[in-house]
Amino acid sequence: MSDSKTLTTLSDAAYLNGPEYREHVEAVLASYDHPTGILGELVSQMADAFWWVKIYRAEKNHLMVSEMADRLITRTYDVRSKEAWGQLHDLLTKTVSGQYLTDDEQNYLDEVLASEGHTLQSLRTDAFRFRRESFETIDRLVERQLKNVRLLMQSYDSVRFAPQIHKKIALEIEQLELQVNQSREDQRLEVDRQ
Amino acid sequence: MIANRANAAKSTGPRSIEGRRISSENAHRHGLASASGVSLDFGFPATAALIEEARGFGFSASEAEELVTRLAAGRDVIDAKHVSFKEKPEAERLPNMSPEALYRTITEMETPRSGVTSAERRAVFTLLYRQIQEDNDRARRFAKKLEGHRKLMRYEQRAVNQIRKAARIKK
Repeated sequence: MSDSKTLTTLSDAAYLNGPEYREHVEAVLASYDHPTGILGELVSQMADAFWWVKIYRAEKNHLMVSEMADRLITRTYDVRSKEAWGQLHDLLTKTVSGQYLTDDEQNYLDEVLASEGHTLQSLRTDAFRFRRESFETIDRLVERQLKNVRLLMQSYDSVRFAPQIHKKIALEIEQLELQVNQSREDQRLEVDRQ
Repeated sequence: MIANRANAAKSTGPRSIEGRRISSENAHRHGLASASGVSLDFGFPATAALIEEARGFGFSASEAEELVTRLAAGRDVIDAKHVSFKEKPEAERLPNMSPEALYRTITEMETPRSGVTSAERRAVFTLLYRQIQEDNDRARRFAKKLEGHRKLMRYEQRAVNQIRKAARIKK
């Protein structure tokens, strides 16, 4: 397990202690060999971006399935309609995620789809068309998170290799100074010779 | 709560200077757009330790402060994202009910002395009905959270770009 301070250096917000979130961040920190301090913060921020990608994708699927269920059953205020909607939602979730449906479940789903003149594909297309704006926003948010990860990875590399780079720069400067001194010496000798 | 909302609808806003000052901060959401940016206490032990660590990586004093400040700004945006995505607790959500049932509930709450006009009743009804729809529809709640994140996207972009810039080694 990583040092708990890694997660709380720059914030003490409650979400940092949520078990699922914490586990996710610690798994990412572990893949970077448990960095602490600045590197730990950079990796934690990277982990946060991955977290949101996961959340956005899950919510996108949920939104799609809810919209598909809405197109088949109109939710009203009575309990029976809510139950029917919930049951259909569960079946659609299973179907969309490629899980096995029993014969009874498959028959029920086919029946509901047929009664609304839909196939699974046409229902999905309809739902997508209706929620297109939300899906586009989700895609933009996911894209933003992936850009964040890339920039944070570059920052991580910059900080991590900063000592070596600074050393290399110092050596280059030293070498350039030597070259300058050498050329000055050569010039002086040349002048002396002339 | 219905009575509170009905009374609030009659309000003409704060009158005292202090009241006006307080209400002027009502629209304050996350402070990420503030022109002053993040102000870190460099004397705070945890912050000072990070700056010292950055110095150890070869960054100059000002570069180290800049890097830690930018990391803190990035963390502020992350905090704001989590706050805006937080679900309203179940106990605080309004129960699901039909428009007719809501209207009945509102009128039952009234007493002959309350003197609520039909326009006021309509205003409270609209307010509560919108809230009921939002509280009982996960898709609507998600759309609201999504909108919050969409609005934060530009702050996020700025914060991460500035971290990258501060972490870059200057030759």
